[in-house]
Amino acid sequence: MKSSSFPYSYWLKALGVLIFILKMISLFLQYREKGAIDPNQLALGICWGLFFIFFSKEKVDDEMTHALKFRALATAVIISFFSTLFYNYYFLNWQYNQRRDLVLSISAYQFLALTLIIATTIYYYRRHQSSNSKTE
Amino acid sequence: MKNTIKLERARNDMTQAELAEKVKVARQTIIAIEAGRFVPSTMLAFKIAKVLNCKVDEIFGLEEGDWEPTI
Repeated sequence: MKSSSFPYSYWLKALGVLIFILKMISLFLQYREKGAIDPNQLALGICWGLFFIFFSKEKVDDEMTHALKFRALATAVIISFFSTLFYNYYFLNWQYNQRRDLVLSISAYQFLALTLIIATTIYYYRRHQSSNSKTE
Repeated sequence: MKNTIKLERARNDMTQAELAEKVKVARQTIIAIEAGRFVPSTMLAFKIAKVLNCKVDEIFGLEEGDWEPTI
């Protein structure tokens, strides 16, 4: 039996969407109550949702799907890495003093959320492109 | 890599959807292979050839650019 790199069933995509929607509703309620949103909570919601959406099998899961997902993931990690470096350098540590300060960085959840957003967008865009070609 | 899937499909009077169903991949995958945007694995190439009643090298062939390093 073949093992897949994408372990979750197709229906778990729906669970991902549900988790994402519920988290966004809870954040909206939190915003109305406190007047602010915790960016880590937002990133966590995006991570949970997109994790199940991206790592679930497709309706027809084949080798092109896997190739597109791996390529999208590789591109996303590279873009996220450089975006994180850029953001940390220019926005969080722009007055960094080596003797006095600690290096600040975005959280792991935010990095993961950014990576998953980019990977999922690239994957669905390329898939859409391949299905839009002329047929028959 | 060039291929003659479209031609062989027409010869076998088969649609992309039918071929996709027989080799158990998505129709988008057949579209991408026909357009030369996706190179199938050896296993899938053999399956396609078998369904289209051909040999693999009758369907798939190397092009000049395929000899250049991919990485």
